[in-house]
Amino acid sequence: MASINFLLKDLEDQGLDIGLLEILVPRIGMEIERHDSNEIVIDITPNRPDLMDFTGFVRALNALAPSLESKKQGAATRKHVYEISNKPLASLHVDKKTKKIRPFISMLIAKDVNLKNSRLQYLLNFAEKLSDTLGRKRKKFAVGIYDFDKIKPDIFYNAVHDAKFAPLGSSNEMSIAEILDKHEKGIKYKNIFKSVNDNDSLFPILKDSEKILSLVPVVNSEQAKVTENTKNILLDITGTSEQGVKQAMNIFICSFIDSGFEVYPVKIYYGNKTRVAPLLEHRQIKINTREACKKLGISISSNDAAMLLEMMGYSTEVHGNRIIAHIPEFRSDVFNSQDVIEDIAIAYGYGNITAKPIEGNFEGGEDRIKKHINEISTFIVGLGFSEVVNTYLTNEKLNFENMQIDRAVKKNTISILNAKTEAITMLRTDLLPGILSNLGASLTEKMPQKLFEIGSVFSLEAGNKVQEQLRLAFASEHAKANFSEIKASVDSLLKLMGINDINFKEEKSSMFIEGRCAAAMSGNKKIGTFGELHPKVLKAFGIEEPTVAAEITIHEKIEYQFSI
Amino acid sequence: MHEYEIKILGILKKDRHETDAGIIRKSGINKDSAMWALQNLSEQGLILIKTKKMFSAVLTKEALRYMDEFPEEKIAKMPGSMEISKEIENMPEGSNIGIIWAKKNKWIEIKGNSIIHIEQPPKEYWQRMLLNEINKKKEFDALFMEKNKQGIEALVKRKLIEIKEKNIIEAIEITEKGLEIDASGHGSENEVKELTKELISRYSDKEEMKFKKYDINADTEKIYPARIHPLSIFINKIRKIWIELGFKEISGPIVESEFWVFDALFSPQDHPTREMQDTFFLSNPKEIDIDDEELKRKIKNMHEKNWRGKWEVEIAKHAVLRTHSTGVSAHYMHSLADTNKSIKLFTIGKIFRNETIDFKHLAEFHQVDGLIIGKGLDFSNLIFTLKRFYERLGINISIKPAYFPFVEPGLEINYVDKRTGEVIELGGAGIIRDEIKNALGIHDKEVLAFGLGIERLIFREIPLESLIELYKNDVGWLRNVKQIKV
Repeated sequence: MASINFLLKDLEDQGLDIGLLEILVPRIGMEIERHDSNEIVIDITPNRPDLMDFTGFVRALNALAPSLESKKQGAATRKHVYEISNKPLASLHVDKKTKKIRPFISMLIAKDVNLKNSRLQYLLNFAEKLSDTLGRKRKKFAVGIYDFDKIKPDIFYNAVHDAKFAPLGSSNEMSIAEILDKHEKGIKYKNIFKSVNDNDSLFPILKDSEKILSLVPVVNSEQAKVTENTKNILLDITGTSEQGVKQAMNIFICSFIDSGFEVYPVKIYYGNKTRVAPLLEHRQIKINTREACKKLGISISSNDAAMLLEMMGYSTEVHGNRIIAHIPEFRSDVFNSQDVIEDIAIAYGYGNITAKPIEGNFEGGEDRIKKHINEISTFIVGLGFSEVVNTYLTNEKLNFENMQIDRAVKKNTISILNAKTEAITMLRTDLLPGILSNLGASLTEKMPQKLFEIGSVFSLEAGNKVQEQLRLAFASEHAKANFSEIKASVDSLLKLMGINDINFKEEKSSMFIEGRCAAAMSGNKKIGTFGELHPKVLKAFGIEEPTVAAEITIHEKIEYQFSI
Repeated sequence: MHEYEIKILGILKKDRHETDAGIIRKSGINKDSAMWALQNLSEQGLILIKTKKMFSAVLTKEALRYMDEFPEEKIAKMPGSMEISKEIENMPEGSNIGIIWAKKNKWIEIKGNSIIHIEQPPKEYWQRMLLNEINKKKEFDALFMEKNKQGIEALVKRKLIEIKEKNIIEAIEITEKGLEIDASGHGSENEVKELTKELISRYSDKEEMKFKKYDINADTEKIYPARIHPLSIFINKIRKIWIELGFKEISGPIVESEFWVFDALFSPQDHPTREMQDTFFLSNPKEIDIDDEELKRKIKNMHEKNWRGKWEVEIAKHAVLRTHSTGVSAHYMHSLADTNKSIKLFTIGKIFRNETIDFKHLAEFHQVDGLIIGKGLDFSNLIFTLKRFYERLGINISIKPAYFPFVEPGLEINYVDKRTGEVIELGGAGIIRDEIKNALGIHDKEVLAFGLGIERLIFREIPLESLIELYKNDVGWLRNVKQIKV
């Protein structure tokens, strides 16, 4: 979720005081992260990038505001759809080679702009955040803004091997390689380009008839920088997603129109072909009031529904049960009627919906494995063991090395590719390492200490399939802990679990003392191992007193059938 | 007198004074029982236990990283002045605290957003020296504690060390009274001390049996009953509520393909949550196959039609640790698509987020996911269901609009913590999007879904400093933690 800052006084000037904001912000699905007497920080829901824009934010909240006074300024009472002039103010020539690296570009010119009183800051912040979120860190699309009066048309969108210009914040000319290597923005965004070091690497640039305007989408040149005093601006959006570029452009067009700027397109030359762009596409979605009511569990008339939609920035036409909803041009998250119905619900107010029970009889029931776990828990608690709950994520040191297990087993472990912490490298393959860590960390507590855990462990089986096993492990630490104690516990427990034909076989395991370790068998099948832990293991976990332990497999393979 | 007390008193009558280890060795009684017996003897004034306070320190993971250099030293040693906001991103964890201390130590000054260096840190920085000394000493006495009071307090406050205090026994001496008492174990001639099988068989109404009176206020040996872990108790409590509300419990795998965790749930393939910093990807296995060709085609169409970009099966095959358990719901929507009955389902299980873990943060949590499939279900039914569930936990929820790719309309559940006034986010819910229903094969039915956090709620049930404490399984904590009411 992106957050955005506005000055409270700027919002107050638009009829939105803090009291009103505290009501409206959550109602539209956002959150006030914090505010002081000066500034407010708001978390914007990711599907509504239009609200990261000051003008868009004010427009949405005023439309939703309950007071008529503030509504007058809002979009709800303004029944028009957004229109853009069809008179191009400049020509843009697109180099065919850009198609291979960053194929889509859209450009507008806004005249008579007013960027004083934090508006410049809001505009730049918005462009930055939009490119970062919806634009996926400038990869999908990115926004560039220039002072149009400092530009000498025509404008060219080219793909070049190298170029030299002074990037923002620098008075010296730098080559593209230098920018990507040394400039703050270059370092941050160079991963957008597939290759940067080849001699045939191509980079997109924007230039006018005299000079370079920017290395797209990394950094603009210092020369055409916008300032508070800028009167006319040029805005470009380039990207790898045609849809993304278009959606972002729509938001800017609407925002500029609502700010009272004059918005003009450019004439784009693709070789011999030309077109005037951007165009604003108007979309409408038909909804049925009865269906909307049925989906939400509310009862309202078509006129009510239409009014609610207007509170969300739509224009509407009502025809009996049907409403034609004109989608606000800045909304890219409205796919079809279900999205329109959600907006009715938001304007209606979630808190105003009466909760209604579901009719009919439903029979609840437990998952078979969870039931089994709880049953076995009562048995093992009866033997005086307390439950522990350890994490599934672990590392080789704890899971293997401390247990004196050969690392060769590692190839069968589920390994994590990208953990931020060294302590996380894999999913546990056994339960005992967790229990022994717990004992090692509880030295000062009174003995005996008897712990158990029931839970899943993970490994890879043949065919690279993930195998999830349900295990039970328990350990007892005290001065007199010995083999017969753990054998007696295992034996009694297996009997309670209803296991047939229990017998014991001598077992060798590097974690147990030789000759004091056994396998628990059900007939010919091994179901567990137990014994006296070797001092090497105890030392590795920092355990000071003799400890006996067992690990038993309850379900050899948990398979999920997705049936009930 | 208990047989252990008699035995110990016997030893002391001979030797006059002894250490606790000596008593344990000579008596052959285990440590806990011996301590209990010593306590009893002391309370009866028969022996004198001389104790002394000792301290030990446990170093946190953070402290272990500072053994060679504290973050404030690192910052003070950095060349030139620098901008805080930019540099901090490139600096290791703990830099914030480093700046605070470097300033406190008057090594740096902060002017606006910049750090200005004033003085190099001394070679022997007192905090580091003290931390190393404490690490070397396993235990230390009150004198050391008093001498380094200020320093230790500072380290504790920074959460670098945790001080544990215990009384250790210096010496045990027998008193005059102890020397005099008859410790043979036999009471006065006609008073019964310990009831035996033999005495019971001898008992008759005709002969009065006199019992020695015990001091019912005397301390007893502490016993700790075996217990179920609070998290299990709480999860079972939640399971029980859902089952009572008519939900059937289901389960699913934690290792999944992106396909089930994200693609089947309408999350676009370039969505930020699918990136490395949020999700655990696996190096082994790297991929999980998606066998159902028809389903694969439907999901591909759903993505390409709505998100416009190209949908790549190679991305969908990536193996991940599930970031939510809603994938289980997706599996069931698919497998139960043709069922005519209305169904309520829930699952509780582990979910994973690629967080930086420390003394406060974990990378794994629990989530309960629910699904209601049926004809004529609506948003108000979903709100009712959620309210009902939280009422049973004593929580009064509020809801607000929220965005999740797989539901429309979507909602978020909050409640206000009465103690702190903080708004706590409990989970999300909504009506499953038509696109997903169509792709998974559900027609003419609505699907309501919710995903709720578990760990956040447990803070209401037991006192916890952080979630880490819950997974530490410290035996003392397990023995003494408040029992959760079911």
